[in-house]
This record gives sequence, structure tokens and C-alpha cells, in this order.
Amino acid sequence: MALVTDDDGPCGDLTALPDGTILHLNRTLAAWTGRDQAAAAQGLRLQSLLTTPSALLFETHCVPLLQLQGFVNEVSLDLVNASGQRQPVLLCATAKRDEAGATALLRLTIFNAPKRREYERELVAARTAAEQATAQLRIQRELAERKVAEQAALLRAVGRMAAGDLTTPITLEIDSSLLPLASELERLRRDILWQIQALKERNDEIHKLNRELRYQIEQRSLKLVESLGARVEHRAAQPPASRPAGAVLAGRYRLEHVLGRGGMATVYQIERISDGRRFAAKFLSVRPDYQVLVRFAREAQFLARLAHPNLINIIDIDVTEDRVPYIVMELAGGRSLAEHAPRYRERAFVLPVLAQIAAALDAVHAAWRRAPRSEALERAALRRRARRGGHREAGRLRDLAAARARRHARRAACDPATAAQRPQPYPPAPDRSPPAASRARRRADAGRRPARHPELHGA
Amino acid sequence: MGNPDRPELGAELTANFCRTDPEIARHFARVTFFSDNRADLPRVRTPSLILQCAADVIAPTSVGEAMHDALRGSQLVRMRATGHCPNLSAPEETIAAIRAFLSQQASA
Repeated sequence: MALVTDDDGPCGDLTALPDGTILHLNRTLAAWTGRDQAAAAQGLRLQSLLTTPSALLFETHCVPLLQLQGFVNEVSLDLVNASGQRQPVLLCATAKRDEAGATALLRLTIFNAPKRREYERELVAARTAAEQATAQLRIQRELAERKVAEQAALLRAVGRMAAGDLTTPITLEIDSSLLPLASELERLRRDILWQIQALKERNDEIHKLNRELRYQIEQRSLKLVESLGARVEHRAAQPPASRPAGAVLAGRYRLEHVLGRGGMATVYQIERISDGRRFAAKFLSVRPDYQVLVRFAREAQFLARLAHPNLINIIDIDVTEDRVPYIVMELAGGRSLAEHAPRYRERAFVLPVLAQIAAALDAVHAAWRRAPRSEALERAALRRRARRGGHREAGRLRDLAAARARRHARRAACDPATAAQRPQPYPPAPDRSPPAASRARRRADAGRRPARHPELHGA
Repeated sequence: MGNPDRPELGAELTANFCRTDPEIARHFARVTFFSDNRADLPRVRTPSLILQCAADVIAPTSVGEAMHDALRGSQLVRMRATGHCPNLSAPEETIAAIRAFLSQQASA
């Protein structure tokens, strides 16, 4: 039986100088690395038995540690043989020091470790897979959270829109899965905004036209009374008691039937020939003296200033061929307030009606306060009064509003001369637009106003 | 160590140096092995000393020579020390080379 030596033991054994120059390697290691045992010990460096990465690790990790602490354990390296085949190994090494403490020799023991390397690789692969799965989970969770946040953002945006905010754009991240929905909403928002804008512009345009129309009616009333006034006294005739249905006025209106008769005027339903719309036309039914004419024109002029949902709008003023002035107004359907008398004690009925009456009166008073001095009418009235020797008629324009609200139940006397004596100065320039506050109130009222009560705008 | 009466301090420091954090090692390797600053070398104005070890598997002699060519006014010292860490394997030779260079710079 041969003597047992470590030269062909189960692990590699190597002795080297501190710079790696091999002094001795055992047969096992020579076999692993495919080197000739004797030749290897002739100036070969141990680094040349390692793959390049392993040589780097040995130089940068093992050598400094051997220098510093005198040993390294279980360093995972790859041997490489002459034909380039690799062999995973574990290295344990110690540094032998001389008396001065300097490294004199390196002693290396090398274990074959392919199974362990394989196991380690599997461990690393498993850990990497676990880490990737965790990362994937995190990404998915973040995606889910983002989606929830986007849904919340979208819901908030919808809420904003529902609450009437149409100016804030609806935006989401460009790569959001909800982007199509958001884009659709955004398009909807812009569309609505655009439509509102267009409606507003059209509304503004209509308001302007209406103002212009009122202004023209007012001017026409003035001209009418001026042109009529001078000649009326000796030319005016008693107007006919009734006018035939189908009679055409100035080629524009066709008379239909009588709606009502008052002390000074008769109201007919008429049809506008151009578009078939129905209106109410109020014809003077008494022989027009100057005072009556002025009053009539003044009423038209004042009506032209009124623009309120609870008040009747004036449409036109003109004179018939037989020189009888008439006013064309909106035609309101419905019944008279008097016909609702049995309900007068019902609070739910009366309060809204009263509120509308009050709003209408308020508008009338506001218009009166704003009314510019009607110089032509005043001049005419003053001349008239001078001729009559200081005749004074108790004129209360407020009654006009009341009369309107109560459907001509009582006709007010309107003497511009008296009105002109009111102490407060009238605004010199005619500003026909109602004040902003009342405009705003009207807009606000428009949405929730109860149905018009017939009594408040009866013709 | 500066505290010979407290050897545990020295041991702790050694352990600290010897510990290798895999994350840091990976980062260090990435920076070291994937950086190429050769184009920057001609712009260096600082007086430089190149210590070239013998038998350095990471930086063979040709590397030291290329550095010397690229670094204007640099000095190349070929050391007897082998490997890549002469500061550890041959501290006396390393210190001597640095001292010589510095005193030469100071007198220049």
C-alpha cells in the first residue's frame, strides 16, 4: 500500500510567492488545470490558472485581504485549463509571514465546486425571479393606483362639469387607458361651452336689437305726437266704434276681433301678415284732443322703455289711415286675475302672483326713474297748459304701472308736465339698458320663474 | 493601528475593509469596467505620476505606457511590485516613488 500523501488528494494545493509565482502545485491541481506539474513550477503565476474575471477578483480582492488579514475563505473562482475549459472552485488561502511581518508565502487550497456553483446559480436565479415578481407586483400596484387616481380625477372633472364649471379643461396623462373617455368628455365640454358662447352672443344680439327697436318706437311716438299734435284739433274725427275684421293696417297687420274695450281705447287681436304672429292692438276710441294724444304717445314711449318678463312688450306704434293712433303689443293668453278670485286666500297661489306684480311694478318704477326728459312732450304740454291758463291735472305715472298690472282696470292719467316737476334731475343721456343688477336678477329669475300669470300681462 | 492598547479597534477596521457589499461591488465594477476616459487624458493639466506594477492582470505595462503618452508632462515609474495593489503589497516602494515625485514637484 502506497504512502498516503496530499499530492493527489481530493483538493488542489498550491504554494506561491506573494506576487503569485508558483513554487509548487499538487498533482490534483495540475490535472484540473491541464498543466505539467514540473513545468508549472517554473515561473508560472497562479493568476494564469484562472479565467480573466477570476484573476481580476484574485488581484483586487484576495491579494489585499491576504495582505491585510492573512487569509481568505470560500472565494468562488473559475479555473481554466489549457484548452479553455472552466472549472468552478472555492479557494481558501493563507499568507505566511516572515519575522518582519511581511508576506513570504501564499498557501492555497482549492476545492472542486461545480454542484455548489450550480446550486448558487439556482439560488440567484430564484432570488432574481422573486425580485422581478416583486417588482412586477409593485408596477401593477402602481398602475392600479394610477388608474384609480385617474378615475377619481375623471369623476371630479365630471362633477365640476355637472356643477356648471365648463371652463376647466379635462386632462389626463397621455398614456392613460381612460384617455378616450377623457377626450370624449373634453370634446363634450368644449362643445357645450361653444354652444353656450354662441347662445350668449345671439342673446346679446337680440338684446341689442330689442333695445334698438324700443328706441325706435320711442322716437316714433315722439314724432307721431309732434306731427299729429299741430293738426289734431281741427282735423281729428270721432274714430269708428268698431273696425271690420280682415281690415289691413298699413299693409302689415290684419284685424281679427275685439279683445276688450276701455274708456279711451279698444283692443283688437291682430295678425302680423309677414309671419302670422298674433298681437294685441290698442286703438284710441275717443276723439283725440291734444291731451289724449299726448297721453297715448307718452304711454307708448314709456312702454318702449319697459323690458320685464312680467310686463307686456310694445311692438309698434302707428296711425291708421283715418289718423287714429294705435299701439301694437304682445298678445298674452290666459285668464284675468279676477277670475281667480276664489283662490285669493290661498297663500301658495297669492304669494307668487304678488311677487310677480311687485317685480313688474319695480321694473316700471325703475324705468320711470331712468326716463330721460321728453322735451318734445314737455314743450307741447307746457304750450297746452299755457293756452288753457294753468290747467293742472293730477298725473301719477305710477298708476300707469298699476293699471297695466291690473289689466286696464283703471287708467292712469299721465301728465308729463307734472312729472317734469319732480325734483330729482333725470339722467341727461338716455341709457336704455336696464341696470346690471336688475339684468342679473332677471336672468336669475328666468330659470325658476313660475308660469306667467295671465293677469300680469293681459293685453 | 494608532491604538495598540485596543486591538479590537484594529480588528473592527480590518473587518470593515474586508467586508464586501455585493451591491456596492456591482456598482463599483460597473463604473470601473464600463468607463472609458481615454479621450479626457489630453485635457489633464495636473502633474501626474504613473505607478506601473509588474505583472498586473488588470493594467498591464502597455496601459501605463499609453497613459504616459496621453498625459502631458506625466512621469512613468515601473515598479518591482507585482499585482494591482502596490500600496498593499509593496508599501515601501510605493511611498518612496510618491515622495520622490512630490519633492521633485515642490522644487520645480
